[in-house]
Amino acid sequence: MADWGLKVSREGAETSSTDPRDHVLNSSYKTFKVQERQTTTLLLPNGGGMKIKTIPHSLGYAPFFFVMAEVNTGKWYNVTTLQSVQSDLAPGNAIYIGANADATNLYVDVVSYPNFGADFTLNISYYLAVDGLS
Amino acid sequence: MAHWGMKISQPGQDVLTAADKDLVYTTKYSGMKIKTHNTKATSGTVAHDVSGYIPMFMNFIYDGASKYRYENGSYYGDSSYAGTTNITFPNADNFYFIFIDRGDDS
Repeated sequence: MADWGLKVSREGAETSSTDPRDHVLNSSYKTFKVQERQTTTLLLPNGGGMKIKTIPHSLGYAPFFFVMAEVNTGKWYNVTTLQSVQSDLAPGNAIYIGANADATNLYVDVVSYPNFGADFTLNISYYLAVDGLS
Repeated sequence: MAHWGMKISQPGQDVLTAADKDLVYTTKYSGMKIKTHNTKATSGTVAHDVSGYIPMFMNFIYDGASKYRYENGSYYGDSSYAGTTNITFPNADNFYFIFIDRGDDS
């Protein structure tokens, strides 16, 4: 098979550059293919504890993912990896939150949260990629 | 609207039959689009210059020993966050990406 492909350079660079970072698109490398952003919520009842949001997908394999969450009101954290976030509602206490995926679902794990003094609705925004982790 | 687009397959794969996940590129799906890739040596805020929504972002921290770690509040004490105007970094030695893509739920 012939060696061919497609390169699109960034402004100010040449497609002939041997540095792939100069290319906006280079068919020698796969790009992340991201499905549309989705949003959801998770209720964290008053009193503290742990909660898991299970988000079904239909890909059949564990996908690459990005997850953001409004852990404190007006403050959006990247919770793609496990994060410890200091709580504005319960000063001196941390919320432990992260995400993971399998072949069926994306999970947003609130591993531990303190007593907020009232129910708290966690807003979540996430992207699933068509690209698989395995 | 007609169904059209562009696909690029990996070497040795038929672009007409390859699964979406195996393609190098397809206009069927978007990629994450980086608006800013920069560093911030100290804690504090950086204006994300995105108006009307809160953007997606990622942050890595240089640990001083030639290693970059995905920022994790469990390790560093607290985590960076995005608001309507700024990204707030509670830690030093940040290497961050701000995306055009939306990070909030509006």
